[in-house]
Amino acid sequence: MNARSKVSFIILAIITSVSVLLSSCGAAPAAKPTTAPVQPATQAPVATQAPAPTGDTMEKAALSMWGFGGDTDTFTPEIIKRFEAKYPNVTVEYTDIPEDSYTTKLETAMMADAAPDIVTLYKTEWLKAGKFIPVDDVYASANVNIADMNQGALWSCQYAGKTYGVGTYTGGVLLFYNRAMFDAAKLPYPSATVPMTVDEYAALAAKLTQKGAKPEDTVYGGDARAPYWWSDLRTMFSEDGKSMDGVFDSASNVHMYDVLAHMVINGDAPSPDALTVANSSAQDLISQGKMAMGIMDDNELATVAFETNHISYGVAPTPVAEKGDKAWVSSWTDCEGIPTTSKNIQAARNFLAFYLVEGNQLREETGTLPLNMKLANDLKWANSGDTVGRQSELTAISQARASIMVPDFWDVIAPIDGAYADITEGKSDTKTAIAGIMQPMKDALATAWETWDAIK
Amino acid sequence: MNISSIGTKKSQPQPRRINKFEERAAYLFLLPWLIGLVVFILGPALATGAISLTNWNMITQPAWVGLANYSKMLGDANFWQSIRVTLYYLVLSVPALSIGGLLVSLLLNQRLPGMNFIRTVLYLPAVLSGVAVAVLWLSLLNPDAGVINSALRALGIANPPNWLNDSQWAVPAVVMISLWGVGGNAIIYLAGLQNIPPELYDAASIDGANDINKFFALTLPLLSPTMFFVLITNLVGAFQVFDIAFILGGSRGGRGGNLLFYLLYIWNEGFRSGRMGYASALSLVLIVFSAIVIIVVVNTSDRWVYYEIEDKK
Repeated sequence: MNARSKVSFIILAIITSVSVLLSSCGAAPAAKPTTAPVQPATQAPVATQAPAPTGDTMEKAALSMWGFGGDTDTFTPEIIKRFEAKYPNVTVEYTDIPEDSYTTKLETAMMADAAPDIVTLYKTEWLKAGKFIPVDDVYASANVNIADMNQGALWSCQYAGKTYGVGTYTGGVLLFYNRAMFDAAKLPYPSATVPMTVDEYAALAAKLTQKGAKPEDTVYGGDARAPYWWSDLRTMFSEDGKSMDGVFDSASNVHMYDVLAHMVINGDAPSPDALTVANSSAQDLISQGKMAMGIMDDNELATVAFETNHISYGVAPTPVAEKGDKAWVSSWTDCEGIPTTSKNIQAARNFLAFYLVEGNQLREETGTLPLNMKLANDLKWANSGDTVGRQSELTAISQARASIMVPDFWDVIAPIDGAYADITEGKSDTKTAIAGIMQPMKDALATAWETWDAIK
Repeated sequence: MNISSIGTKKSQPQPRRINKFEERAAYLFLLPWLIGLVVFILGPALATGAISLTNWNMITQPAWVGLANYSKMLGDANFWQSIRVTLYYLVLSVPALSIGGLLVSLLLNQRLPGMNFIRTVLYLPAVLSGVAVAVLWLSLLNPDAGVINSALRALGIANPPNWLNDSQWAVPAVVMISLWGVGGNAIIYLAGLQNIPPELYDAASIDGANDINKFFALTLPLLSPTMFFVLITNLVGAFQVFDIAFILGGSRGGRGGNLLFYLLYIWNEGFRSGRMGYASALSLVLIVFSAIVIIVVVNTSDRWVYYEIEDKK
């Protein structure tokens, strides 16, 4: 090999090594499972309220159903199996669609009047356009009191005073904390009923933080990501959802962002970017004892993860701006609705009635918090697993209430992350950063309402 | 012979007449392609044009708005941001990928032990899914805990870039990620390099040409058709950035719209925000703009692309 060849070989060897190195970075070690799959129920349901028709009286029908539960969804196949066992005249063919393409596929089907008989609701625009039938009477036919449902979660199935979907579980954004860390610091647990103010939250986080020599050795007291995804929308928009002036840039909201950003600056909370790294989410950090309080975007996943990993946890509503502000819990449920084009509306209603009763029951059996709060209390959902954690979760999430409607919300608030990063990185003060994004957000809001208003 | 018979069939050679059967067979063979053209290209393109003149949310009936969607673009800050991001990426990525691919292919063209293995390894990133690559790089480029910034800090750089969160670094970071897949271009160049007859290099050596002379006088001209192909595909690719931007910055183009690529913006407007009319208008603008760029490049190719066959003529 001559000198030139040797140089070429060395260059190629370096490039190849770097490529191999980068490739190996992609093969992350198998992550510790943070969630346990929902298992089909093995015990017989108890105390169910049967829907009106019986297996003998229900007419023969083949129902089609679309959803986006994914590969890990064991609930839907199980509830269908139970329905078909009880009503042998009716079959339900379920199609799972990736969430990314769900709305496109469904809207295309709706345009062709070929929507399935039962679908998971996703956009309020569909309800405004009259594409779904109200199902308030389904609750009545199933002898289920709609007031027993978690009102915040149920709101995601409602529009203009009518209910368009039935749900089976209560999902919510809540503040989870590691009880053992509070015990070690001899601090009282946060209240499950009265929310902390953001100042109280920051002060508590500061007490719980143990700064290490290196960032990875630090134990963070709290979680201080930009609060738009867990705050009451009324802290950002007017009650009619059409304006942000004087609301998002109000003194109390600026103060909230300022206090949270300073938690990051002071090292009492990790930077939002740090929480996006694999195995470093707020849930992971709490499980590892590296974070005392974290705001979880999915209570069910957090509950399963902490119980699986034997982490003693507690739950509280997310912080509020000022003392006396009502507790706020962003919440949702699975909303199964019936398109107006369904050829099997009666059979679909019967399925939904069954889904509502048996589905809530099945959720409880598998450890998931049902939508029906009365059922959760009656069946003592909080008495299994980590009973202290579950009881506080049930108490906190029971306070969920109706939100306000803001079309294209995620598009409107898109500039907030950038502004918040500027604050936490010391590039801008809070008031200036918020003032700087007001106009783009207001423009996006105006466009969103224009699009909404065009739906007749 | 009367005047009317002058220059008629007898005096000129005529092509063989195609009989009806052959004509029908020809159309039948063409039919699959024609159907594909009409159904998948022409039809959607015409529909896009028609939809762009309406306000349509895919839920209710479209409402005619004429050219309003086009005039709306002028005052749309996100439209201009997406143009800026896409053009910035194009300007950085096309030369980087074209020249980077060429340089790697020159190295791969050496006769060295284990070359097949090295070629395979370098080509591997090109066959990986864009989503997988983006997820990997998202982790590597994390400003706080990413491997790259950890390495830079270890090297003494106290404040390494914020990469995807920094308006200055976001697009260069995507270009860097794209460069990881430069093996795809390198393989195309390599095929071109290996098509150059070795006797030409021998003749040049006899004439006293050194390596640099050979590269500029032989390799580059004979490789120019390949370079032209790579340039066009890289240009088209630069207009089509979507999956990597979606994973790296989310559907809204990341912090401050740093990664709001044009295609991502079209998708967001059409499928997320329910403004299919506006998204269609944006699509048509992209088609026209990219067609102009490609036409300009193709028209200037006469000046720098050398086809060996031209000399043979």
